[in-house]
Amino acid sequence: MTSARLPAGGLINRTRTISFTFDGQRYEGHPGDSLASALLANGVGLVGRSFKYHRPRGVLAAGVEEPSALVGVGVGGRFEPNTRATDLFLYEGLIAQSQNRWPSLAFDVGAVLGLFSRFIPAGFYYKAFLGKPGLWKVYEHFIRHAAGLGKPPVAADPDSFDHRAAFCDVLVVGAGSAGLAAALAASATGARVILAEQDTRLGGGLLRDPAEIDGAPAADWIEGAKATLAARGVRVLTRTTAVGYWDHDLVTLSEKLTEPGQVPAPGEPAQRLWRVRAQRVVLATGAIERPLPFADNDRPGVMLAQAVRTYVARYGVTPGHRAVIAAGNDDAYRTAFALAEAGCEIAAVLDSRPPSDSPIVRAAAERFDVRFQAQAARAIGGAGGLTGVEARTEAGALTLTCDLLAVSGGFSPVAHLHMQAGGTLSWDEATGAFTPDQARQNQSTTGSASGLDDLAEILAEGWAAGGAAAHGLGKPLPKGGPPQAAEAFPGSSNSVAALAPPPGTDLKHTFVDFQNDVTLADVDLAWQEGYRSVEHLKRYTTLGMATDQGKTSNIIGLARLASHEGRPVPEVGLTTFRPPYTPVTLGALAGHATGFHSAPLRRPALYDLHAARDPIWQPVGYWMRPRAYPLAGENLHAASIREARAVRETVGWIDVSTLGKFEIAGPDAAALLERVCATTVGKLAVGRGRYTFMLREDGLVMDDGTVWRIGPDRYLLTSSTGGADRMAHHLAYVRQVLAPQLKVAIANVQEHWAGIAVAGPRAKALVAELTGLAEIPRHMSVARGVIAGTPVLILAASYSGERAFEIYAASQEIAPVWTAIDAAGQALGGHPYGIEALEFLRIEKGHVVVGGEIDGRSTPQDLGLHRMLNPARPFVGAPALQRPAFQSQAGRLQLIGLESEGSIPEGSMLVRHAPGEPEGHVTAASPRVLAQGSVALALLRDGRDRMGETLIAWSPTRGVSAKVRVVEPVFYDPEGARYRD
Amino acid sequence: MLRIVCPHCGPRAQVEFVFDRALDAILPLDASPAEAVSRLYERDNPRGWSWELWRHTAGCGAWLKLHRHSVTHEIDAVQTIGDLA
Amino acid sequence: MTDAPRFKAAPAEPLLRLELWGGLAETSARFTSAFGAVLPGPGQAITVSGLRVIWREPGAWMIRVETGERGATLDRLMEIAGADGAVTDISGAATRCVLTGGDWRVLLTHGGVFDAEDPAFAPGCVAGTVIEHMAVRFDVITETRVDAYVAPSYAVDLFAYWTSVARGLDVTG
Repeated sequence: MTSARLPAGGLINRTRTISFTFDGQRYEGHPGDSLASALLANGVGLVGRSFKYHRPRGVLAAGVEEPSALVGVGVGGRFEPNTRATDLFLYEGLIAQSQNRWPSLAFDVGAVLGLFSRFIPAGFYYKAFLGKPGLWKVYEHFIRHAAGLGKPPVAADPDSFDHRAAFCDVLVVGAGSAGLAAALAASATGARVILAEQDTRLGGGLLRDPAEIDGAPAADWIEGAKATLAARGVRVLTRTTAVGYWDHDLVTLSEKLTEPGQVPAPGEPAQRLWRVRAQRVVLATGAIERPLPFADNDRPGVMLAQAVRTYVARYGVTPGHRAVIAAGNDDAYRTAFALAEAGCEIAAVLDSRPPSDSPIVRAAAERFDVRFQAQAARAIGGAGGLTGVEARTEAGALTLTCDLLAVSGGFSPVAHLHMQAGGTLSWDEATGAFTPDQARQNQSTTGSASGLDDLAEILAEGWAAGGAAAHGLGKPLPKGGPPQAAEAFPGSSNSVAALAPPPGTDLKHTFVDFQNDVTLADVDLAWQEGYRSVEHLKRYTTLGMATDQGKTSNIIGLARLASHEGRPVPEVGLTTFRPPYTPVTLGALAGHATGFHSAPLRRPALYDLHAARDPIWQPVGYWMRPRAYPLAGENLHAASIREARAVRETVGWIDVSTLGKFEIAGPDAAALLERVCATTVGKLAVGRGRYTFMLREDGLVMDDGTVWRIGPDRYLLTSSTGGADRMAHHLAYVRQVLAPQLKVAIANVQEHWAGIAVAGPRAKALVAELTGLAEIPRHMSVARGVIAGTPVLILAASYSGERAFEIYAASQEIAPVWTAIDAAGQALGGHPYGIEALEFLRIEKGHVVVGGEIDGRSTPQDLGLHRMLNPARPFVGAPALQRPAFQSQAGRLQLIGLESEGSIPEGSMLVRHAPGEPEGHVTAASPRVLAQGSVALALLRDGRDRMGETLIAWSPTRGVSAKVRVVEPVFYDPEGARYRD
Repeated sequence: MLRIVCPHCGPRAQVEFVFDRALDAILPLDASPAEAVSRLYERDNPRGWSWELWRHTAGCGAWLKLHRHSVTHEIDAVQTIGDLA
Repeated sequence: MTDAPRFKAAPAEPLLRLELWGGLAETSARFTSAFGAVLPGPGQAITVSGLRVIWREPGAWMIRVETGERGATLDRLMEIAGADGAVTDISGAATRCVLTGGDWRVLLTHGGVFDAEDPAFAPGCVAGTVIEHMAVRFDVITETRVDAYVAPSYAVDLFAYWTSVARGLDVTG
């Protein structure tokens, strides 16, 4: 390969060098180089191996559309595979490696697959294993290793990623000439403007083609624009790609603060995702050049014509020393002039059009060998590079020697964001391009993205678009006028679509989708086999499905399909444009929500006090609750049994702060509660409480809890921890939507009140000792007191089945209350307990729990709660309870208890014999607290009629089963004697 | 992420809101069993405009009626329920 | 280099919730005659007689007792609510964090969806929104100070998040 650094020129900083490594070899480049330009400067032309056939590949383009030069970059958790070398900018110590080759790029064993290409066209593995499913498992192993491009990292990403919201009047996407003009116009009106550019610098095509704007060299004009925009407070974001256009003009931008694999500055994120809500969006996203279809068009040494100019003008690199240009437009002629200026020989210009009169063509014809009605038919060469081109001309076939073939098959406007925003396209048959047509949201498209190709026009239209966007929001029109351009060869590029290969071309080696190794023969095969819709073509051949999403290939494949169909391209249609426009890292999408932060964490007020005991934690919804507090040498089971026994025999205390809690106040407080709760509430005397449960509108049990009348017109409602947010929403719904006439106020006091349940035969003594109260509330009564100087509310409720008291204090004051209870309780021989012990205790008492027995499928009757229903039936769910489906209990899953000598597997199915048809399941199981054996709660079909039956609790996935006997769902103190003093 | 203009708070992002139900799925407390079944299970699910009940849960907590097109997500009306501003 | 934001958890102060079920006009009148100021409307907050009165929902306000005693204030507010509403102590339901410095607006755009950079979001304005999945409420006190309220269960994580953001803050962005 004979690419090399030019002795002068380029926008790189030649005074400094940067060292980097590619495939273990150390090289040097300059600040401003991309990895591609630095490799070319060092004479490296072979950069990768293609996906399926392992063909040698080099650099095709100079931007994000690059399909072939894919590398893995970085080390450890920062490694990023499939990175385009053309969209990766040098930093000191960059480490990159080629992909999809073994043992090396130069000698790749996988290349032998190319010899078998006849047998592995599109769809081969779909066909190969029809009727032989067993073989697939064998071959899949090998196919997996042969297939794929890059390898993902296995270490965790050490960097942080940021998310930000931003708002503006006008978002301009793209800072080429059109985008800069639009941003200048919009900001001149005083509008709030954001300008996003995916490249490291502003300027777009101006970085590649010389021009004068407003009398100054383009580079100076760009600097001036930058200063003007900064002075006006425009937010200019470089290295920031607009990746998605969502509803209501929300555009997501992915900002690279570091290059892939680069170590960020301390404390700085590696990347940032912006969510921008704009009022208007101006899309100045440019156009992507298309390659030409001909045999072996994927060889290293074949490059897009504009890309060649970018390497010369921006990077000071010549990709070759003797070039052929093949094109169907005037723009590619600039490449001939640029290369010639850089000292490159021009072997010929192959123009597929008839002879033309445009100034640039005439000037070129005087200087170079220009052939009209001529096309490239085959690229000649190998892994070492290009050696020549076979051309078809009017005079017949011609072989030209060259080491660089610059091609241009026309330009495809970048309409992706416009389409994501729900826009439509219009097709220009002459140029073979789709341009944005109708917008459904507040987007407009300008510049080459709207099909323009004359710099003066682009600047004028960009300026108009920016002004119109701001004006549409009520701003005045911008003063002044568009920037004025002067170029060597102004005017349109007279592009003619060059989407078909010359007649007689070897289609099996004419590549369309370079990244997925899809050829024109594959497109033809799909059509022959009946895959005629563009959606089928895409999925059968995988054309357009690689990481470049078909940026250089979709139109060519589409045109081939259309020509088979004999219909115009727009009738054949396009596949859907989906975000992201270019690949986005998962880190950028996750932002802060990774690892420990991947779910919100809610800490109870006593979290630190619990943590000091090093408990076993249990996530409950987003909360963290202690599951058990093991003492030295104890496992979970031993700790939980000890804690549960303490509650049965002495005293225990548990943090119940996470329960849902609401204060309901006002003359109609009871009325509201009787609409939400399915039990009566209005009969409660002041100072008394009761158990209650709530139904959904379909009559099924949703939640349960307790309600306490703590004042004449004030009630405290408690409900489950996991359902607290749902209950808050439900209460507000009933209050505001179903019963707005009620005189009632609802305060969510879940986090205001922290609570500690003290339970056991010594609980009453403990409470008396701490409060000094003469009268301790009897079961289901309320009292107020003071513990450790803190006012407390005492609700005599029991979930455990022992005499118990829930002690509530304002959460900021709960710590001394816990400490006091802890000290006094330990002195009595008691222990704190966690939710594992609580489970054992409540199962023995047959207390149902939301998420266990209450799983949203049970009626009150199923759970044995129907005797508590408020006969007046004013509650949510009452109408649905009357429906015919619920009038018979036959066949319904009913709450029952189970006993066993051994352990009962939780969640297991209940069957008559294993294996068998499940007739129910075990919702919760535990060892007996004070005896041997186990007990469980379960839901069993017709369970209430099957008392005494023996069944099997069977879990085939865990390989366990237990013999169980059906009994009443209560195993401890069914009369509630423990509650009486 | 929809942009919803709350009558109290101005334009806000969808994540601050909770979709509750279609407006005609509101079931009065004294409905008949037949009406309950109908409103709960016999839904129109129109492809087009319909009224919905939302709540600005993380914002002002207000219950809102929203007129939304289920295909284009265009929202052309947002109104409060009740009169206690 | 602009003024990087600093934030600090505020010491606990009594927090009360005033909620009306009707009689908005009558209650407003009673409030005005008691305090000489108008009950704030949607998205507004005022300071009056040692109380920070923050509009919370239609018909509901959050009142922070800066000076004065919780019980006495609660009773006074109950009189103002009269037969039209109720007052509830919610002191433990929110943790307050004070953000100072010129760039609190930038800090609040991180992990959020709210336009904190809009100059119209000015002293006297309040807004409830979401940051990193946590519901937070902002009360703009001055151009360089905003109070943020969050549920205590989320407070540790929210402050940890703001700490990590502030470390890498792009103060010019």
